Amino acid sequence: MVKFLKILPIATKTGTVTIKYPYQEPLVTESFRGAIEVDPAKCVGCGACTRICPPKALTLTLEGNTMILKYFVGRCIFCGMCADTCPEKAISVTKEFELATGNVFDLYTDIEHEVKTCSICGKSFISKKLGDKVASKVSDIPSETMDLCPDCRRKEALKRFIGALE
Amino acid sequence: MVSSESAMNDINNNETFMTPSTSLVRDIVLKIRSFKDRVFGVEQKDGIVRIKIHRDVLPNIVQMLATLKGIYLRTMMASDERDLEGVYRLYYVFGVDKEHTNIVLEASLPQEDPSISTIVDINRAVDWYELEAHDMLGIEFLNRELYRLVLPEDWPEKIYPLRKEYNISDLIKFYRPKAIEYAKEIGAENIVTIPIGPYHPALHEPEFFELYIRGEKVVDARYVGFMVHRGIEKLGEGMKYDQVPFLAERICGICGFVHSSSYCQAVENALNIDVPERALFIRSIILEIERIHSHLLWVGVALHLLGYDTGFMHSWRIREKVMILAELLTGSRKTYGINIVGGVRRDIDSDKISKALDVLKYVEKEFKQLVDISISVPQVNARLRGTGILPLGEAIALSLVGPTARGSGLDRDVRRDYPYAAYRYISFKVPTYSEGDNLARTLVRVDEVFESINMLYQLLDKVPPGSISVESWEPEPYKLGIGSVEAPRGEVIHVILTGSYSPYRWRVRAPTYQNLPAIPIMLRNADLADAPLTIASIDPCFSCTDRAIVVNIDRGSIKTIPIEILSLKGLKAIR
Amino acid sequence: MASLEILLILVVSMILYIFLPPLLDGIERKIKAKIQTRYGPPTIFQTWYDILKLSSKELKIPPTFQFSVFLLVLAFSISIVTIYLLSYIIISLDIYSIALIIVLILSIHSLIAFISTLSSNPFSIIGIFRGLTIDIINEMGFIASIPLYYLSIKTLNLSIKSLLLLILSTIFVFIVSYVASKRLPYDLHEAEPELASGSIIEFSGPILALYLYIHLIDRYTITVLPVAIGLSSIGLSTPLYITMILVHIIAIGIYLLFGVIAPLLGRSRIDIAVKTLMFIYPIIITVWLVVKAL
Repeated sequence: MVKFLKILPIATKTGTVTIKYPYQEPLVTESFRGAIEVDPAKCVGCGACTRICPPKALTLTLEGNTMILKYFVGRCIFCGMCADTCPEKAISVTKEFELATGNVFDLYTDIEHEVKTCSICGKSFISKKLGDKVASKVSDIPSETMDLCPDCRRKEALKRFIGALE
Repeated sequence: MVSSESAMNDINNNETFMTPSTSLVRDIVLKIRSFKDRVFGVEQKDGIVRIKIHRDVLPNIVQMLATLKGIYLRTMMASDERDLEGVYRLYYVFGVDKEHTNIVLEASLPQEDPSISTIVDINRAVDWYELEAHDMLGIEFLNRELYRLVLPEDWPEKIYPLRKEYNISDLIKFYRPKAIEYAKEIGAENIVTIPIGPYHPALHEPEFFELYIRGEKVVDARYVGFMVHRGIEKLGEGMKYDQVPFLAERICGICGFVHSSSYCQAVENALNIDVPERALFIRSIILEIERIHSHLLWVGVALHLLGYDTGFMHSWRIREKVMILAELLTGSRKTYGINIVGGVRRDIDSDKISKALDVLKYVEKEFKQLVDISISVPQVNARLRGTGILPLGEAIALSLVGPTARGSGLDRDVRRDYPYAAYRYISFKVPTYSEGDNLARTLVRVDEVFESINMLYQLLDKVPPGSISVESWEPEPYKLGIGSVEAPRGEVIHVILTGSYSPYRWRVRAPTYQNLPAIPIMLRNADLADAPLTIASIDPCFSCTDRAIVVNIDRGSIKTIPIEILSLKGLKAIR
Repeated sequence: MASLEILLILVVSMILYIFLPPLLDGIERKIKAKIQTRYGPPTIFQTWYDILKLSSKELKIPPTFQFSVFLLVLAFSISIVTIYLLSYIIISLDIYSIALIIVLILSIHSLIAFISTLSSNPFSIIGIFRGLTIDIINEMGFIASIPLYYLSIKTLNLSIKSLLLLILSTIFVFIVSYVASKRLPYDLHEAEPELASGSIIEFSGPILALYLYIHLIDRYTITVLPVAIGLSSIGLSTPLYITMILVHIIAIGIYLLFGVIAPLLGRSRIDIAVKTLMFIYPIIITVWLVVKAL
C-alpha cells in the first residue's frame, strides 16, 4: 500500500541529475559527430563528397575561373558520409556542435580551387589539383589529352579513329 | 514436388509456376490457382511468394484468405509502372506469420481505366491503403466512398503526387489563382499565407480527434490526420540508394533506426545482397537499444498523462543513460546514421561492449524499482485498469500490430514471425497479455524492456568477427523487395521496387498507420479523462486535440466552431 | 498585556500572512524538484518573482470576464479581513470569530468559483465543472470539519474517547485542507493535459498575478486555521508572540508536508474523486458522532 513512498529514498540517493550547461561541461561522448572540417591542402575538388551528401550541404560550383567547394552547416546532418567517401581523406569530423550564430553567412565555408581550362575550347572542366593527381596516378596518358575537356577529348579521339581508317 | 510442377505447367505455358515448400502457403497458392485464367504467375524467392492476378478476381481471393487463420494484411503498395509496362500495379502484401512467408498479390490496372473493386468490406484493414492510393495515384476503388485521407481537403483534383509526371508547377498553377482571387476581393496587396490550425507551431503535433461526448463519456471518435505529410516516398525516389537511409531515419524521431534498417533490408532482399553477420548483430543491438529508450519514453509520457510527474522524471532519468550509450555506440543520440545498404558504418569494440553492459545492469535494476513503485500509486492503478478496452476480435479484424495487439492477446511479433537481422541466433519470449486494457498494454511494454535487456546480453556476448559491410554491390532495376522490422510501436514494413540508381518506388508503412483505426473502438464508452491516456497507449507520435466540435446528440446537429468565435460569444455560440 | 504589544503582534502576524504564502510555494517547488531529481526554480523566491513579473505585464481583460477584476479585488479584500481574524483568534478565541472566518473563506471560494463559470471556452468548461464538483463536496466537508474540530478541542480531557475524537477531527480537517489546496491528486480543475483546461487559462498578466496570490493565501489560511484554533484553545502559558510564531512554524511544517505528499501521487479522475470524497467524509462524520454519543 505504501510502496509508492519508496520513491523518496531513491530520489535522495540519486541527487540531482541536471547538468548546468553551459556552466558545466556538456555531455558529449568520444564517438560524437559534429560539424566537418575540410582540409584545403588535401582536397582536390573531385566532388565525391557532394554526390553522397544526403541533404546537399556540400556543393561544388564553378564561378569564373575558380571551382568552389561550399559547405553549408545549416543543411548538414552530421552523418559523416563525406568523411567516409573522400578519397583523399581531406574531411575530418570534429566535435563542434555549438554552431549557432546570428549571421547566416558564418555558416558557409568555401574552399577554392584553380581550374584547368581546355586547350581547344577554353571551357573549365576540372580542378588543377585533380588533373595533376590523375596524371600522377595514370602515367601513360599523353599530356595533350590531359589538357582537353571531355567533349573535345571525344572529338579528338573520333578524328584520330577516322584518320586511322583512311 | 516435381510431379505437381509438371502438372501445373499444363495450365499456362508462358509463366513460371514454382511450388512453395510450406504447407499453409502451398494450400493458399493452390486455392488461388483454382481461378485458372485469372492468375498469371507464381514466383517464390526466400520469404516472398508473388502471384500476379487479374483485378476482377481479387475480391474472391481475399474472401478466401479471410476464412483462414493466421493471415494478416501487412501493407498495400500502389505503384505507377506506366513507363515499364503501361499499367498501374497494386501490390497487396499478406503475411503468413507461422511460416515466415509473405504472399504478394499483384494486380495490374490499365492506364486508361485504373479502377478496381474495393475489398474494404471483406478486410477492414485495407481501408486507409485504398484511400491513400486514390489520393496519391488516382486509382479508383469502385463501390465505396472515397474521401481525402492523406492530402488536404482543398488539394486540386487530377493532381496526383506519386505519378511519375507530377510537377510542383502544376500544383502552384491550381492553388495560386484561388489565393490571388481572394486577395483581390479583400483588397490585399501582398499574399502571405500563415497556416494556423492543425499545423500550428504551438501544438505538439498536428492532428485532429473529433470526440463525440455525452457528459463525461465518449460516445464515438473520429480521427483526421496526415497534416504533416512530407512526401518522403516521393523524395526517396530522387535520392541515391545510400542517401535514403538518412532520409528514412527522419521519418520518426523516436524510432528512426527501424525505418533505415527496414529500408536497407528491403533493398538487400530485392537484390539478394549477403550482409555480413557482424553487421546483422550490430543492427540488432542498436535496434534493441532503441526499443528500450522508446519504451522508457512511453512509460514516462503515460505517467505524465496520469498526473504522476515524479514517475515521468525518474523514467526519463533512467532513459538518459541509454541515450548516452547510443551516442557512444553510433555517434549520435537519436538519428544514428550508421545504416547503409549492405551493412553498417560503425563498429563496436570490447570497451564499448563493457560500457553497454554497465548501462544495461543499471537500467534493469532502476526500471524494475520504478515500475513497482509507479503501479502501486493508487491513482495510476485505478486509472490504468479496465480503461480503453480493445477486444481481441477487433484486433484481428483490423490486423493490428505491436504492443497494441499484444495487449489484447493477439500474439504477433516480426522478430519471431519473419526473422531478420540476428534474431534467429538468440532466444527470446514475446510478452502477451489478454485483458486488452491500458494496463495490459503498459505491462507488455514493461516486459519488453526486460526481454530486450536479456536479448542484448545474448547479442553482446555473441558478436561474431568479420567485416561490417559488403565490399560492393550492384543495383539491378525493377526487383521487388520487402523489409520488415519490429519497431517499438509494432511492425514497420517497407516495400521497394529497385531502379538503376535510386529506388523506383518505395512504400513505407509505419505501425501507427495500422493502429490508428483502433482508437475509435477503444474510446467508445470511455471517460473523457481517459481519452488522452487511451490515445497515448497505442504509442502514437501525437496526442492532442486542437479544435472544438460540438455534437448535440439529442438534436442531431453538428457544428464546427472556431476558437475565436467561441471566445467571443461564449456558451451562446454552442447553442 | 499592553494593547500596543497586542497591536504589534497583530501587525507582524498579518505581515507574515501577506509575505509567506508565495515564499512557501517556492520552497514547495524546490522540494518537488528534489523528489524528481532536478533543480526546479533557481531560488525559493521564484513565486514572488513570478507574481511581480506577471503584474508588470499588459492588462488584458477577456471579453466575457469584464467583472473579473472587480471580483478578484473583492476576494482579495475578503482575504485580508480573514487574515486579520486569523491573527486575532490567537489573542482571543471565540466561536463568533471562527464562524466569521468560515463564512469569509466560503465567500472567497464562492467568488473564485463564480469567476470561473464566466468562461466561455469549451475546453475550460470541462475543467471548470470538474473543479466545481470537487469544490462543492469539499466545502461541505469544510463546514462540517471545523466545528467538529473546535468541539473536540474544547471538550478535550485525558480520556481515550476524547483523544480519539480529537485525532479523528484533526485528520478530517487536514484532509479537507489538502483537497482544498488543489494539489495532486485533486488538481482536477486545471487538469487534463492537452485535452481540457480550467478557468485559469483565460487569465493573464496582472489578473493572473492577483488570482495566483489569492489562491496561495487561501492555501495557507486553510492550513493555519486548525493550527491556530488548536494552539489558541490549549491555553499555553507562553507569551503571545511565542504562540503566534509557534502557530506559523507548525503551519509551515504541515504545508511543506503536504508539499512532500503531492509529488508522490497521481491525478485522480473526476468520478473516482467524487466517489472517494463522498465515501470518506460521511464515514468520518458518522464515526465521530457515534464515538461522541458513546
